[in-house]
Amino acid sequence: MAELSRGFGRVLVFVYGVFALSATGRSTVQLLTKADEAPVPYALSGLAALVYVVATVALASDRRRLALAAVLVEMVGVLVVGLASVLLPEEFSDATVWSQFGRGYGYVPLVLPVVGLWWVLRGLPIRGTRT
Amino acid sequence: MTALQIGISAACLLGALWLVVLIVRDRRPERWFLTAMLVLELLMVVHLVLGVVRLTGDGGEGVAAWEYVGYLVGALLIIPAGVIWSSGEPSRGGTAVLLVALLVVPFMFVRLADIWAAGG
Repeated sequence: MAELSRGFGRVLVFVYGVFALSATGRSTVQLLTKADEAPVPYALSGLAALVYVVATVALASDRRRLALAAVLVEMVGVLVVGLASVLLPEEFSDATVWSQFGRGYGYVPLVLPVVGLWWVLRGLPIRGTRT
Repeated sequence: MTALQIGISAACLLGALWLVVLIVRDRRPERWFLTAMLVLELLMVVHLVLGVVRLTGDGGEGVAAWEYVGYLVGALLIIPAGVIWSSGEPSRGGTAVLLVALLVVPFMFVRLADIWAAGG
């Protein structure tokens, strides 16, 4: 089975890496300088950072199951946080990566888990014949 | 944006266009392109220094310093990270890594300008 970090996977890992770095940086600044201002979005920023870091490492080191888990959590996260930030704007006084479905990042956070899921599942047998 | 940022962004977008041509034709960037990226990276060093000077000077008091410096440093790292990560991949994927790196730079400049505007 082709490695997850070869070919198209190369650029996917890079995009995940950029998000891992930027989300980690953002949540670190938020938690260190103003954690008490808006605890919910800042905790979610931290979660998003963790998910991107795990996804990056899993894809880069070819751990398919871990990558699948991270990408699924990411997909649920961006959908739930995106919806919550639209329905309850007063709870999201400061932005997270996933607010408004990632509008501040050109909606890349919304598209990324779909592409990631396609890449991780690509070539897998539909019925689980374990190898 | 500053004049330097506009100049670097224009170079990044030109480079990105060229990479799109290479990806479509399934070619790898040649030596001169990587040399041009090195020159771009040297400009990013100048950009970092000027950015810190600007932050510590007049008008920088209200700007969120950690965020600003974070984006300055991030913008400095993105091109070398892209070159290193693409180097082991002699396929379209490797060239696309360089494309992403070049597109992220102007995006970070927009963020820097936003952070500056919010505090100035």
